[in-house]
Amino acid sequence: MKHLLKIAFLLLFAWSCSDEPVETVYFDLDAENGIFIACEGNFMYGNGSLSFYHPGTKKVTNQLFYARNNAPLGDVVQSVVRRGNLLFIVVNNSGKVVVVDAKTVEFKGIITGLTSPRYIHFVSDEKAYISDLYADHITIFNPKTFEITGRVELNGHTSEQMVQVGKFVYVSHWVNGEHILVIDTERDELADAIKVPAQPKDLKVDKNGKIWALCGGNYENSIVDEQPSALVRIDPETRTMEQIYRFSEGIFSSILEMNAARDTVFFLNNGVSKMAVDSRRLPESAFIPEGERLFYNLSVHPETDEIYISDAIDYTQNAVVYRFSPNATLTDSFKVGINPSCFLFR
Amino acid sequence: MNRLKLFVLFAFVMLFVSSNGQSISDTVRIKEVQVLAKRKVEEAGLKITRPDSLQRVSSLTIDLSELISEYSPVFIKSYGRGSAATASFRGTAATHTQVLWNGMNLNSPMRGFADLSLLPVFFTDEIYLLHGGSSMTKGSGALGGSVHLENTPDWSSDFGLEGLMETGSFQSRKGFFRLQLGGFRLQSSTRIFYDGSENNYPFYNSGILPHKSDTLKNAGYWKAGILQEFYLRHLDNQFSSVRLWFQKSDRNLPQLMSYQGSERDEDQKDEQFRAQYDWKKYSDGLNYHFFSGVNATWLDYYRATPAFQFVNEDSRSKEFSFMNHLRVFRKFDEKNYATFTIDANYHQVEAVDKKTGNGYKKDRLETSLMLNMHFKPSDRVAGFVLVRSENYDKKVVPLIPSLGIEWQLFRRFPVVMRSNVARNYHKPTLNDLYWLPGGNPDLLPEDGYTGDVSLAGDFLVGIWSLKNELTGFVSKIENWITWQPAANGAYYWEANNVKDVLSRGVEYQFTASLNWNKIQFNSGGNYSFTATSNIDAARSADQSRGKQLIYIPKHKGGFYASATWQKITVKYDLNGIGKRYTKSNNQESDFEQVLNPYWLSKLSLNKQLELDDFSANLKFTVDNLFDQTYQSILWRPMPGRFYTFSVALKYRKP
Repeated sequence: MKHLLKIAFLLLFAWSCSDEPVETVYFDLDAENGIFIACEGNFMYGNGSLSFYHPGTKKVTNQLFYARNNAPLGDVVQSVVRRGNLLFIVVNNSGKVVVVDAKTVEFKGIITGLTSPRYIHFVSDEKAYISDLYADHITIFNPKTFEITGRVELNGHTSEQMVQVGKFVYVSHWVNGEHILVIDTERDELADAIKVPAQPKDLKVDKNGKIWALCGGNYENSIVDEQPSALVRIDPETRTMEQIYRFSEGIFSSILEMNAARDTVFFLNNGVSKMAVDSRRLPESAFIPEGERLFYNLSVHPETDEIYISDAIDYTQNAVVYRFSPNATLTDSFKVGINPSCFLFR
Repeated sequence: MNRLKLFVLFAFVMLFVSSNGQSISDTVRIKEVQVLAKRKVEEAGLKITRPDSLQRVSSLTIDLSELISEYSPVFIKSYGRGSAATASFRGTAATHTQVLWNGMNLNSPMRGFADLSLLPVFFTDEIYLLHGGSSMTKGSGALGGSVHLENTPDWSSDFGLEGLMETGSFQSRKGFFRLQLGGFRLQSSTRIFYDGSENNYPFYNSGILPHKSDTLKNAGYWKAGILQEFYLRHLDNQFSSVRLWFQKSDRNLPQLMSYQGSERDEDQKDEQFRAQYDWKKYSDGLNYHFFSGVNATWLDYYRATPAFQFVNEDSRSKEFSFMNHLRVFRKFDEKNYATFTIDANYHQVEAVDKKTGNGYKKDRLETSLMLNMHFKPSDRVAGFVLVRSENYDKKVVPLIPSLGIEWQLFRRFPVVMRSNVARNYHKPTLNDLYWLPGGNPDLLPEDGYTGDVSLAGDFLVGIWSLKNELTGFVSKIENWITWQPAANGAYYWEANNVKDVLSRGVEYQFTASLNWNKIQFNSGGNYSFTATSNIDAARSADQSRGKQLIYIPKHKGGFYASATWQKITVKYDLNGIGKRYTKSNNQESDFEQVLNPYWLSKLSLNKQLELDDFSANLKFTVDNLFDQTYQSILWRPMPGRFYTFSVALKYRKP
């Protein structure tokens, strides 16, 4: 009995150890030449992160934000953009945009009160738009003060990716949408909506000033019939579709990129496909076959035309990024955070 | 982790102390009733966990998830107080645990699991768990194990009245009421419960910058229910019963610690109605049991951003199950017995997103036949051989076998070895198959093999009473179903058969009691080691092969000790959960998020007052006694120290 009491007593007081504080890591990144990679993490896990890769040294650094600021970025790190020395990191399911210094990753500020922010488009030094999956308006903020200054009402549409041609910003209405919205940046008003195939998401502008939109298509459900993906080219002058490239039935393509010369588009379709902007038909085979890999995202370096592809592996571990030369030769691969969603080259 | 090792050490020291006592006193008293004889022949070879009476009585005001978490080796994944909670037996998923109420399956045919936080312990009279292949005797699909809730009449009482009120921190209120009426032939039992809380507990928010003291928002909940039972005793050893259970709950769903967006209005409303007619007949060598019942569930999920006047989702699902079961138990002679069961169940589900109009409506008819031959060739050996055949969605599942044996190793020493092996399978849920978007009609059922070996002993040593059970298990599950982002880049997730999972480990449980100088000491504990990993990661880039599955702890343990003197009881509970990984490759660093191990202590003081047929009970409990900061789910805060006080009054006329 005495032994028992002693052991029980020891056990009672055995939990007093505490986790040691993690030391802050200070960075001095070569942000002018390196690549920032936003990693979504897993929805509702709050484990999104920011990675940095230097193509010259081939050195990769993960978990930049946590290491520097001793806090997580949040839930689903959707995209990252740069303005001057600042990085604006959009944290989708945390309803916020986190601002850090691009060289040191030191926390500089935050834009809160959003609901499901997706992407940022800078209109000027003092005006930027934030698109939102679960709001029928675009939020306007001042990139210098991080203050929300207004809204662009979207008349029931939601917003995803944004590109600008002249004074108009073109915005895709992705989930359950079928329009490219036209925003007048001088009046911050919805000026027009261009009807396109179902669920347009990624947008790019080619060398001719034409807008390319990759429409994800529709799965068959109780409301609509199946509609495969489609790639469309839009003339921003006439606000009409010039060309529709329809994918075969059952094919759902995603991720649209453009090369440095803006004369070639790249997209994911069981591998990476490549097509000249003046082509009349979709390519029949993949430029970089997917094989057993699980391609999650794709980006093309805006100066070197190198192709960076993320492989999510199983969606719940650190992903691999493959770096290919413009002629599809693998030159490097490296590990980053979970589910890389966005590459920022400068 | 050191604390877990200490705990294991403590458990083994307990064993040592008891065996040491035997050698010194040399007064090993074996219970006169042999161990095998105490167990029903139908239970021979099965791994069963039954919370003892002390555990149950001290848990009347909590829900099933808390009871299982505290007093069994089963891991409960909980999203916090009042929130959804599911059970993971032996490293398996929530859908691999089947929950049965008086034999009727309560798992959602749509989502595949039962939310244990919606099952109040007060609404049960007996609870037991069947681990691994042992669950095959009650049904299929429980790749991990099954939880059984039973209601039984109290024929020894004509009238009983019971009321229990509890108040606690975070504006928490609970109320329980039971009225029992009847006589020798007819009994009625009515139970009502209410459980509500603002649940606005303080926590330190390290998920945002700057870190700050914060309060959990939008986490309030209430649940209420009524259970009516009627029991009729016929003249010829027949018993009929009717049970009706209606329950309703409304739970707000809080955001992660890192959320800094516009205030969200997110909630889930559940309604359940269950009805069962049950008939039993006992006769010499032949017993019958039949039930027919319905289980209807309505679930509303709503999420909106009020400041934006934007509704993200407004969905409703309706589930209806009609279940029928016939069991015949035949005793051929003293050595040979058989159980035959036939089940026929119909499920219908309908899910609609009111915002988009999108949804699906599907039904499922499933039938099952089981023949279980029980053998008891001697007083020391018993076993069973079972074969089950199932049919669902016009698919025939090949015969599923299972066999088990129980052997009292020594004639004069009550140590029993029991073992069973089984093939088992789990059919995809209707959401897995048909949810829009992402359901996959081509999914294969998850299937696998499982086996365990246990050594159990039940000793009386001097003034000690000690029960021990040590079990080793292994199981392999193929075609494990997982939802993951759509491979085609679409915004939705889709279901696929993606893993083969190997799970192996050890479970240990003990209870001990001692009566010393008019003080009654009781103690109990459990520990489980579970290594569960994906063995189908073929690619070199995939580092998940052989690694622990996410959110499954390798180590889990619980311990309690109580002392009662003159109807005053002091009880201490300690529960520990080991590290849980949140990445499939088990990566961890200073900045990679793993869920750290934690220990939670609970201290309660209980005073019982008795006067003739009246009794009263006053109880004060401190949960999380040492104010531990911990997370059960990544970036979801859990409450620090909190208090509850309850008063129970009971009148029972014999």
